[in-house]
Amino acid sequence: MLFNSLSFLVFLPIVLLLHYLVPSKIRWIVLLIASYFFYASWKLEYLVLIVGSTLVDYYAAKKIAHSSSAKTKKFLLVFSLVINLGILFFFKYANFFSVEISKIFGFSVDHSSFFANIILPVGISFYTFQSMSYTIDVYKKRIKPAHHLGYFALYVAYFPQLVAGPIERAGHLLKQFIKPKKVNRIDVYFAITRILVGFIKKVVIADRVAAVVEIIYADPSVQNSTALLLGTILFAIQIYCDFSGYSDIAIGVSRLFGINIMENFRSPYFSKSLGEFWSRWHISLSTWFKDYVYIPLGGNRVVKWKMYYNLLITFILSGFWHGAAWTFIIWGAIHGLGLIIEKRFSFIKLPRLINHLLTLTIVLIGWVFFRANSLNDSWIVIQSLFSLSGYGSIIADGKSLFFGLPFWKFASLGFLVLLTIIIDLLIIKRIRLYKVFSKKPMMAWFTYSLIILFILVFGVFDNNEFIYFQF
Amino acid sequence: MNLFTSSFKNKKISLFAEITVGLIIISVVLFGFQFGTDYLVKHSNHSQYGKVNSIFNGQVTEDIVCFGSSVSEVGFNSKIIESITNKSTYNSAIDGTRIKQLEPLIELLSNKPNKPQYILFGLSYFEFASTSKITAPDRYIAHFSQQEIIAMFQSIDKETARKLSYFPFSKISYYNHTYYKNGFIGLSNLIKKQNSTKPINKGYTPKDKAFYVPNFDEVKNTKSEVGIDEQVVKSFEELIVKIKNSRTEPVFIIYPVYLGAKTYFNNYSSYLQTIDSIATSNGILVLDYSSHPITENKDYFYNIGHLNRQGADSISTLIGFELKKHFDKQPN
Repeated sequence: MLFNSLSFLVFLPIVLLLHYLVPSKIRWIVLLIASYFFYASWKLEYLVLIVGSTLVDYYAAKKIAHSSSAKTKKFLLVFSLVINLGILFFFKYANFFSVEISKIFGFSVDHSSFFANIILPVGISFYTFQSMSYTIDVYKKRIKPAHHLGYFALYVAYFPQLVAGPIERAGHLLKQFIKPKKVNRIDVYFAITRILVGFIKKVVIADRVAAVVEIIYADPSVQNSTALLLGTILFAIQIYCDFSGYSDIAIGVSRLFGINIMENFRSPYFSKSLGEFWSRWHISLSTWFKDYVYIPLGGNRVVKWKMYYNLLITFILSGFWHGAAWTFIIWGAIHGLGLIIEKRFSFIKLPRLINHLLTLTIVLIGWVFFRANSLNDSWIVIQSLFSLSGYGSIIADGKSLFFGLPFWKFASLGFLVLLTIIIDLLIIKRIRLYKVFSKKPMMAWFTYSLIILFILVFGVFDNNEFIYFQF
Repeated sequence: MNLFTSSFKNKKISLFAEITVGLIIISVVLFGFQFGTDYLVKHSNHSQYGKVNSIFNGQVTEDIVCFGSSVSEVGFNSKIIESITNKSTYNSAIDGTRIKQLEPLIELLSNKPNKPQYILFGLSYFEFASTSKITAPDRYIAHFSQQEIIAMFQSIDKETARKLSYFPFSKISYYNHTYYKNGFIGLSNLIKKQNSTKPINKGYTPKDKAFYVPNFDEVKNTKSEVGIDEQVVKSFEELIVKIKNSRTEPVFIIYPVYLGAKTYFNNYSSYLQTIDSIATSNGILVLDYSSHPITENKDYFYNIGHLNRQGADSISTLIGFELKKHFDKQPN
């Protein structure tokens, strides 16, 4: 069930109604049933995985907390990690490794083989990481174990953020399930505003831009440098609006239940360094990797070369988390190396604009690998982007005038880019529309009507999945 | 107190009531937009929209009406037929559309008191292929409240029918720029007080283009299959029987294809046999130009399957004379 599907538009009001009809003490049950129903709507069998992961981590953490033996604690932690990472490895990486090992040893790979037919359960990378962080936090004594299996099950499966994050921490979310906040007027206006902004980002901007990106990246070898540069910039817009749009909807929907979930994006393309970019892009994942990979590796408190090594490893793993392909690994490595260079030459002070452009350039180069259909396609795009002679008019060949799009449609892409910038500027300037709306309800609801109309008129309603669902 | 600064809070209305009022405001705005746009589109006389509107508005009263896809839309010159047969003629073909989708329009027309004497079916090679998607739904959605249109959507594309039937305002997501353009045309017609929604040229859309097909040699040498779905054939035959029972005579036209359809399809003869079988069992006149010498001359086409103005006028003349011969044979 996608947020941008009609079934979700039926599901959400029903869950909200049930949630507020039952006494507050048992509201978590409504949310848990709704979350399992939401997840089972993709495939009923997937429920086994999420329930299995929940049971393993709940009981492992409980035993860890109550055991006095360090060895037992460690064993239980390793057991929990092996189960979670094992599930993730089997569903996400088994085929990749079977192909790569076959290449190394020269076996012929049968693509209809067992591994190639494994279907990746939606959201598995998100909830396994969320569940693992709980066990690690209990082991590290950062939090106490959940006293109730139901609350913990809801923490793992909470539907607004189940399939594409933000990857929450037990310390933040569990207590909210136990003592939910009473929803007030500001929450309602915050939630509706946020959900609508999310829909604009997803169905109006991301899905419209995606159509052009798809044409350009389908076969980069037939496109000139101008087209590829444009395609890469548009992909940067697409992925940002797609993913942050999902997060906006998740945050808004969650607020309607009185649950605050963490922010995942803070206008990342306005960053002046890669370090800043990663504190603004997919915040829940980057902090996860910082807390559970980078710091345990030694973090900054080691000699410089080891710190650089830690950074590179963390980012390569982060790339690999996104997908079992070399393109994602290279994407992670580009960011890791970029950060190393940034730290190594931090004594060089450049004008703000140059810093901004440099950051954007590295991010865009990274997106090429992230988006390209293969490593070969990535190289074609990179070579073309850096070949000065390849730049020319996109309409040079006459036939593919604006990639087959009429001029007005092409011009509307410019408007969509502008709209993205406007939305981000509102966030940067801390203009909180929902506060204005909560004070002027008539204006608010009339504005909401116009925004919904805008979404219906300009949106794409082909049930396009969110990009991050595939991770 | 101005509308936009009034506050429910001051009036001590609960949050629940505030949300309810808010939802009513949203519904009113969306309903107003949807109703207004549909209303204007229903007054458009532009191309396909005009054709659909004119049938629903009861303005198609000609003796001969042709239905079909773009092949008939660009290949059937109503004025030529009219001048030869002395019978009023109208081209109601809609591009990209097979007969299955035009069924509600045809049925509506053949059930009216001033129904046509003859309904001509310009048949395309994809006529009997199975389908689960409505082509260009925007042309019909202004009339989605009509039972015939709802039934047609349900029979072809259940999902879209369900969306449009049960989700308020989902219709707006099907509007496209052509829909809004037709809305403006409708508005202009309303201002000019023009009541007719029939498009110009009696529905004929001539194409003044020379033959151009990119990679023609490749296309010529790639053969494919003509889709024939038994259910679609059965439903087509049922429609023909209904039309005959309503005392309107159906006529089949098989349009020429450059170099002959057999060049591009392996089983084109099965398609012709299907038509022949329906025609024989129901006593229907078939005007078959699939092997006519015109298929050898690309000057008459603008692409493989579509006639240009020169080709359309030539074929329309032939159709006109064939029809006249047929009418003359019939008792008054």
